Amino acid sequence: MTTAVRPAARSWPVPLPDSIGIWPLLAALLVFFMLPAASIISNSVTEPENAGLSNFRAVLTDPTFAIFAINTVRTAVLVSIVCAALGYFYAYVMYRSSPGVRAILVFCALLPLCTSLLVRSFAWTVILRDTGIVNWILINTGVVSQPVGLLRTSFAVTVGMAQILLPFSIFPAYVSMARFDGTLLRASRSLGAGPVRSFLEVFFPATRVGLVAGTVLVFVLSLGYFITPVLLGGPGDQPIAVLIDAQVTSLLDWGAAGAMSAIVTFFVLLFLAIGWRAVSRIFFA
Amino acid sequence: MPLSFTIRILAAVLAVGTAAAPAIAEDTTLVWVDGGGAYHDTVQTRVLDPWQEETGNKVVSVAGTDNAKLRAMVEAGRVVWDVYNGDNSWGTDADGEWLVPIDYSVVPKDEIIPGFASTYRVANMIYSIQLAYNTDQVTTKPEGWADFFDLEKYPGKRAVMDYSVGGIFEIALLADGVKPDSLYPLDIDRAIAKLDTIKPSLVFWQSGAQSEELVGSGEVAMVMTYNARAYDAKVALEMPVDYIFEEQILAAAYLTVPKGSKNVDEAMKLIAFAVSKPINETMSADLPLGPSNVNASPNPEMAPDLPSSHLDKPYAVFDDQWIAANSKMIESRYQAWKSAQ
Repeated sequence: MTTAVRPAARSWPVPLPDSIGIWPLLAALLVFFMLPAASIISNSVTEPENAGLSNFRAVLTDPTFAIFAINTVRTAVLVSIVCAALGYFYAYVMYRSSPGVRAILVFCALLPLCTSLLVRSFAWTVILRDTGIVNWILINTGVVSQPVGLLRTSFAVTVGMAQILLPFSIFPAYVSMARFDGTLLRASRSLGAGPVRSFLEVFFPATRVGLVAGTVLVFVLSLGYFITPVLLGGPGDQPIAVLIDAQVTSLLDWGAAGAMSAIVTFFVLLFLAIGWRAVSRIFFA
Repeated sequence: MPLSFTIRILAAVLAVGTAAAPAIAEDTTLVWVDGGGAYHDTVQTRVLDPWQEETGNKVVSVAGTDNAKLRAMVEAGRVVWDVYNGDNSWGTDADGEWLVPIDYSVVPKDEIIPGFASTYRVANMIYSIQLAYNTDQVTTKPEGWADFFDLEKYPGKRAVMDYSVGGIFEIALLADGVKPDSLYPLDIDRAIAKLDTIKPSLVFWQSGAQSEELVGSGEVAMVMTYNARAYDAKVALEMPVDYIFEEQILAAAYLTVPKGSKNVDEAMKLIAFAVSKPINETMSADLPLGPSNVNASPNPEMAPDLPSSHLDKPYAVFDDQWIAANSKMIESRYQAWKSAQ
């Protein structure tokens, strides 16, 4: 079995798994994710009967869809920028730390992944609201006299989603740094480059792939967010997922929901394809 | 050998996936679905427990009504719900495709308040959408929705239900001076113009519990919410909250039976039981929910908090038929307005 798989690896974007244990997982993914997703998307051309491309025409010419699409992309871009900067910096600190400190940093980065997304989003509402801890401190230290509107803003959405998605940019960046050949830095220094120049011209170019891979993952994951923008954002921050939800739960319009889902899925796959080289170099190299 | 093992696992996964649904559906236990919260507990102790005692038949109650889920179940032929306690927007003739007509040879239609029993649904309780406020922030009692929109007289944020057909356009029109009995057909342009005057101060709530939290914590000065939620915030949670009945919008919760239910006859009997006088009047035992049965006498202690005790003040009633016929237009206008910066 394994010998048969090896040659095929070249023609696939990733090597086919050669462990038999992975197949039940792939089967579960197929049955519980791919098939339901495909059936949702197929509604776009089957609901109502003989819909053809009418759902896509209606959705793509709907100004409301455009507003929600812009909201979604704007949030994803903001979150990606924040995660790229913080994630790369955090990974760099991990890279420069002693093994003991690094273990603590890894633990701190992973810990949020182990708590529910809903709980973390709700915790942010408690922290950021007018009567929350941030405004309490600002008022009691005399910085402001009236509460600052933090909750239900793009700021709150960006902070909340960036906190949740940060591990996805930290770890690819760290992987690229861990693979970096440290002697290159010493060589650059001995040839006369200062620490800043060495970092910018030697270290950063060599580890950029991790930054790109992490940012692609964060961006793509941001496109599908639902509960965090709902809880933390204002009316101008609501993503496409909210509009899809409204089609299904309020309007019972599976056709429009399917068309919107298909459009989002298309862009998710497109962005993944664009970033695939970086992602595969980090995860499959 | 590893391959056959994989196939066995795959087969097992598929078998579990396809076998689970019919196994539940073929059970004769009735399944009741409602919106949850304190109401869910009232239904359990006041309706379902007595029903099980009297008939010996089992009934399971589920929290979380979801019209889309019900439709999906009916279309897939895997209906696991038998009695569905939806809100006023659900169960009009427009939803006939997914419902079984109520069997009025079993359910006593002549005992139900006129207008609250139709082909596919029968009301089991009357509630309302009302204005509630935080008593720390609002010291002069508001008199109606006009005060909800008056940020000068009553500073502070306002929380509204994030649901296009939940009454947000109705309260804007009432605030703008439209008479309660001439609300429909809704003048959406006028409602949106009114809503725009306070849009930066609006907070949108998605769940009833959230509406209590917002007004109770003082994050908003006023909220539009279900009367039972306002009552819960004030009485059960002892939050600094009070409410008014002026210009309340009356609505009802309805019992319906999804098409494809395996226990239609039993479901009809449970519905008849739920709306019968002795059971229906206990809806007001714990919460300010009015009975739908004309013979039922509500809990006297709850009388001051019941929507039906305040019909001497101005009030409106949701026009469910008009809403059902126009829900798509209302929803798209709402989403467009809400998301526009």
